[in-house]
Amino acid sequence: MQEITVSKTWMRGEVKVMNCRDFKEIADSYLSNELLVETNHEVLQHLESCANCRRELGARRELRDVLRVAVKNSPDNQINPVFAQKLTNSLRESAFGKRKSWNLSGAKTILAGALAVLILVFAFGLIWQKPAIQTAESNPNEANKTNINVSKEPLNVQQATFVEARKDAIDDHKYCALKFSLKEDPISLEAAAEKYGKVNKNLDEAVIKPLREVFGGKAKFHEAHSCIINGRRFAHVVIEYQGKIVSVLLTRREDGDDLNESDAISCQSAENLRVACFESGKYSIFVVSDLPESDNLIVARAILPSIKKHIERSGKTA
Amino acid sequence: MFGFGKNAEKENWEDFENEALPHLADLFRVARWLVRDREESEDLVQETFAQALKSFHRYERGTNCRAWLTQIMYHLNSNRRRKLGRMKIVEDTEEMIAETIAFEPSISQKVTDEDVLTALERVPQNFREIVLLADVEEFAYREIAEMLQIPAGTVMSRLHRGRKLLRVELAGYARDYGIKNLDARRS
Repeated sequence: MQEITVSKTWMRGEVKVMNCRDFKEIADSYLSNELLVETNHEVLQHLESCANCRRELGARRELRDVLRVAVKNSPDNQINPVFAQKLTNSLRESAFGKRKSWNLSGAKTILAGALAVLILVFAFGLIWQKPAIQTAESNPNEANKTNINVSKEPLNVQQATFVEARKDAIDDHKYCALKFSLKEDPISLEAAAEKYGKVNKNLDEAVIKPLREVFGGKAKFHEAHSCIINGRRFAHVVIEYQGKIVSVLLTRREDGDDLNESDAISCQSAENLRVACFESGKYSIFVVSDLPESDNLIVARAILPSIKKHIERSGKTA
Repeated sequence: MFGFGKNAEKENWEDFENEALPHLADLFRVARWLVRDREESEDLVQETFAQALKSFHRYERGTNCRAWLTQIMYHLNSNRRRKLGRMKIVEDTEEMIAETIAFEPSISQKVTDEDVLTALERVPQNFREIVLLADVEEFAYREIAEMLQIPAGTVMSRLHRGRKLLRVELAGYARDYGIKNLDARRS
């Protein structure tokens, strides 16, 4: 029987008590969050009273996790960073390379001119409405804080805490890796592993090893420690790539929930710095530098599989 | 003469860089399972991103960019296969194999990543690709249906069968481990 057939039975709202056979048919759709709310409710009711199906669900969830990790961690499936960089460069060239020749005349020129003026007026209007970005200097209480021009959409709590963590990561790169002016002395990753969790232990290896494999001598290790800024603790690995200082910063997310694993890396810029970030398990990882965005992204991409594996392993041994 | 042309290009690129490029590694992984050869996968990824950059004005902001890119990749891949004469019609035999699976064996917790990948290789392509898209890449059934240009019901039935086939393959490893362990205890 197909899952859809079973789902339809539930969708019609027929009075029927879910049995174990029904549950097995839709257990995977339940895990994929593809069932109707009412059907989810029926599943939960059934699970409450059936230990066998709870075990079955646990086993299927585990199999799915094992499958996801196996496929994502497989060395065969990792993109070659050199290819990624070349592709990024060629896409950039193609984005800017095909200059249109503006060979306009007569009425077309007037129309284009009018359009340009309209667009400029509209754009100017938008800029005028944009709220002023608060600078660190304008608020003495926020002395060491970085300000980023983020989306004007209202943020939910999770996004807001992420934005805060990103600001702190930028501050840590500036005040720890570049200026050596933290209020509190850093401690070793070993000591941090004892106090704040095993994820700190050998994080430097998880960063350096893939970078050496990919970039050879171009990536140099500077130092690794655990430091605190704006009240947030980071495991901090400082490296040098293409002559620039790069910070890899790992911090525990405030919500502390395990995330659905994804290899998406998001990129932002602030104060001439580039930030590439990704999340794994209970942690957010930031790569901060003044490298060009594509190079900063290449570094993040190179270390992502190794850091994810490190976090997963540390979770198992915790 | 018209500076806004350059600015529009810059904005378009920056949008593309923020929205599409972060998914490069994910798309490469999908390509690896689609075409298997690393070089061909790189070609497919390159074509996909070149096409995506060209059509980026069609991408609806706020929707799932990774799903949009994957859809482009599937479209390009089926064109490539058609050109190379490699187009494979859904095989009845594969559907029938899946239909005949009657039992649901339990999986040993000892299976390794390698076991899982080998078991996955043994699942017929039609089912494997949907299991990968749903359970590894975590696309919604609706998104997969759009990517593969098949009805959502077909996605669900193939997914159901694909997962079953994978469990059966893995149960084989579980049994092997059991036998090995038993042999080890006897010797």
